[in-house]
Amino acid sequence: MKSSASHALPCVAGIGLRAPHYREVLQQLPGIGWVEVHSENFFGGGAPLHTLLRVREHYPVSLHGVGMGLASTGPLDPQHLSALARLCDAINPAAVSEHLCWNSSEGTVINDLLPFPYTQAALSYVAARVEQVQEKIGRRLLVENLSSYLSFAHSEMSEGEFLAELSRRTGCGILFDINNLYVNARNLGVDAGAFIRNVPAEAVAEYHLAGYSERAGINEGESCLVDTHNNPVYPEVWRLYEDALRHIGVRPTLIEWDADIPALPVLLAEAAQAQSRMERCCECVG
Amino acid sequence: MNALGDILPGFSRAIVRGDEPPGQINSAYPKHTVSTAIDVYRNNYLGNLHDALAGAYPVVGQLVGNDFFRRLTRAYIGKNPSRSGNLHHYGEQMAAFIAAFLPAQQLAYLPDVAALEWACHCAYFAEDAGTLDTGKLSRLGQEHYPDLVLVLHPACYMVRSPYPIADIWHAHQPGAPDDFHIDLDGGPCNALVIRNDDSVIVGELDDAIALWLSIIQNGTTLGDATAGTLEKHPDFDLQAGLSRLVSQGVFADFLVKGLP
Amino acid sequence: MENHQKLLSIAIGGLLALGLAGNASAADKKVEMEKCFGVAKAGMNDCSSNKSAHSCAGQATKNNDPMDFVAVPKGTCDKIAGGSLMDSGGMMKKAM
Repeated sequence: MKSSASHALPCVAGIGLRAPHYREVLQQLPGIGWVEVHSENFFGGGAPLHTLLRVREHYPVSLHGVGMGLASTGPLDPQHLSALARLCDAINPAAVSEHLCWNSSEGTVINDLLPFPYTQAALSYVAARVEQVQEKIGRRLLVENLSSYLSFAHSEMSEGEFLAELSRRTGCGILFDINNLYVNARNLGVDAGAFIRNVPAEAVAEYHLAGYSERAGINEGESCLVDTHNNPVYPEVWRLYEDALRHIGVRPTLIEWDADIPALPVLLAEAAQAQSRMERCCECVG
Repeated sequence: MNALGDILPGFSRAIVRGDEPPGQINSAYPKHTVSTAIDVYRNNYLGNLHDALAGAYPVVGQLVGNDFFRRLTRAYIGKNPSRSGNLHHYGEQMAAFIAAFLPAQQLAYLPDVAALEWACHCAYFAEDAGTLDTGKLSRLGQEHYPDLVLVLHPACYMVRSPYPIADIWHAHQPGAPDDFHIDLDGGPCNALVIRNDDSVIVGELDDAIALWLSIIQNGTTLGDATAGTLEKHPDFDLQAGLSRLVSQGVFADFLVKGLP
Repeated sequence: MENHQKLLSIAIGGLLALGLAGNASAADKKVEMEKCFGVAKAGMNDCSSNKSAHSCAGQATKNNDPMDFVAVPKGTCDKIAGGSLMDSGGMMKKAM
């Protein structure tokens, strides 16, 4: 692999850069530690790629994939894999990540991030595919924990244990999404404290923060937290983030906002909040 | 086969078709049921594909209005599953689908507008390529001209229609005046889609150069394409047409048939 | 074919005379009065759950929705007129 540096991203706060802010960011060049974009939106050439190349001149870029389907039952899509490899070569990203999920079965792709049972057999299967991606892109991959709305009775381990073992076997990093963990704690009863205590700190290379929303269920009285990325980070999620900073350490931290995208200063203020927590934590540890 | 093959197909069908979720899925959670969970996933599935279609077909959407467009996309999604993890690939069959979609039969031009929008969508995301190197061309002996094979730029498309689809497309671009009226009998249209300075541009070609370009697109040599065009359009002006297309970056390169 | 050889030579000669720089000239760009879209197209791939509770779901558990046959286009299509508008090929039942 060309790069195995575990902290290629600067250890500061960054923002998810989305289309409504391209122009403003490129014109004003605000002080942002780094930016993350969704890889698939830059497959191919033309305006998207050229915009990202300009962004890359000013900021470290993290490529965050949503479509690889690491746990899908069919072979990895060679076209998708090649497109990601070409994009990596063009951008020389500071990090490349994917989700711990599947998105296709029997030839039908569900363009979403879907959970699967965390079994030993699934672990071997996903590990081989992570290695295939890492080999193709010539870089270490970060793999992100998921927001899930259901779980499986025959899971043999927790998602955190699965990720830890995946990282041990493949050398992949862990992208720890704090909001996803919080959503799972509320929706599924996942033990968030155990996740934070047991995840191998040295493998965690990045944090994500975002806002969820609460949705009513189909029956009276039901409700569910949905990972909508359309709100500020909630206080409970900030608290969980502080726990992670204390137990795992300070890592590059991203504010993700994908729907009802606010004005750029709002996004930057969220990033500043993350930054100040990172600095407070550094002080208390030092 | 792999460890997940016994569960993901059933999970997938629960989302896509509304089948009973597989028994291995836990049935109850602190505040919601598995039905609500599947409903969240189904909403993501349908919503993401609808949004992808809305992004690729903004003109069709304006022409038919939101409610109709939602029905159209719902029907489309039911018949055309996604095949790629990249949503920008979704929607390729829309023109053919609309042509067979009974409620849209009255809008005879709609399939061709959809075809033009898909061409624009593909042009937007197409790979980069250079433009025809006229320096290299100048060093080629004239005796090779009939055997030239012109290679189109990956972001170049032509859509031919009996309806004025380029006018319809332009009337629906951001900033275009609202008070337009388009006469469908305005004649056929050979819409040319190119990408210039990262912008997707829709222009029009006259029938002769459009025929010529359609033959060139098949990989036919310059000599044969020109002869074929002159048969139908004796007044075909190759020089003007070629200069225009080259200056617009329609060609990425050339080969000479029979030469390595 | 000799005829065409001459025609091709003139056409390519004209092309080369326009300038070896090759790329779109300023004059050609001025001709481009056509509208275009460039930097604005939003990327569709993202990793959030769809927030729109417009719930496509729920009502849509089964395909072949018979509602299709009562749908009526209500958009800018009323600004597009002409003889061919009502020509549905004569094969289709009028949907409205």
